[in-house]
Amino acid sequence: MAHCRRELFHAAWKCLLDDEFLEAYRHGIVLTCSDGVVRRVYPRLFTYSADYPEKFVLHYDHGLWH
Amino acid sequence: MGTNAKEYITPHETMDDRRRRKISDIIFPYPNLSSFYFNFWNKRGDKKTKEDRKFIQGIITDPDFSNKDVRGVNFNKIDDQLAKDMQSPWGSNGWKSSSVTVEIPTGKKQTKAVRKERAQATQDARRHGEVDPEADEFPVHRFKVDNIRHRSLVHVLRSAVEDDHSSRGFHWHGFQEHWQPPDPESPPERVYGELYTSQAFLDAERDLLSSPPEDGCTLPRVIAAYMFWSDATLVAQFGLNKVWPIYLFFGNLSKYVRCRPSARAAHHVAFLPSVRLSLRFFP
Repeated sequence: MAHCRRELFHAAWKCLLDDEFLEAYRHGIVLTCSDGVVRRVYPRLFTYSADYPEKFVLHYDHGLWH
Repeated sequence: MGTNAKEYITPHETMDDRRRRKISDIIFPYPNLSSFYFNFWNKRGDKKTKEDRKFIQGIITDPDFSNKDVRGVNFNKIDDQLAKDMQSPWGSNGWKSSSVTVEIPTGKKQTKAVRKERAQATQDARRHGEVDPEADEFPVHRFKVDNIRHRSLVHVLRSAVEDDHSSRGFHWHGFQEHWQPPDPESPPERVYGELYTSQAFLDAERDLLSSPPEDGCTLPRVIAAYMFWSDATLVAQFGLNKVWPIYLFFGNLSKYVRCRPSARAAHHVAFLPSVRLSLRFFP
């Protein structure tokens, strides 16, 4: 059961970290912030909090973590 | 219009022209201001208070309000359009539904007999053209999990930065925080408290700024710090209704703001279905 949960979790993350996100990760997206300044914003993943032990493998799967 | 309703659609006074949007754009999909105010009053809660009465009085007596504009407007259709978030390029507020295939080992030990049996089965199947030659190295069960609801991470970022007022408090640039102990002899100590004062953020920012910019782009480059959180949660005080959400916070916002429920700084990005339910029909 733990295996299934982990597999499902990783599979779901593959849906989340889709091509659109990777494109934004590499090249940034241009946003008009609410202070009126236009910036090129690069999304970066920093923390991931969960009580699920197998979580770390996740990031390596997608090659985002250097 | 002399009502306080105007405050709701007038852009903030400090916003400059780049941020200013057309009124027709703001009130989309309403065809005109009169019908916007009309439905706005309707949506102000089920119970009408004295304040609401004053509000509608202000609207219908305003010289800008025209009852001709409201005539024949299909408000049900507008409600539907609002629910679908038609204006956004992603539609449906960025939510998507996907299904994934999960592999589970059969748990059969790979003895010589088992391998032989499997090779035989593969050969039989191939002869009948049933499987592709690129079959799995290890025998697995596959089962499909439907209905993973998830949201585009880029859409969340866009809506949080462009539409949400709390993004005014975003720290786009990292910095170090130091504390000088009372004793002037002792060296200052580094204080860690926020994500944007952490070394990880500073390193990421340094890496970004030292990388070559996009062709011809001179915009300031900044980092949006995604912080995820997930935990399976019971959603009722009684009963066993469970959800397994993944939340997203932005580390650019101070933790003192981010953690306040009223700041609405948490964004849902996914709901995972229950594994137990998905497995129930598994052979």
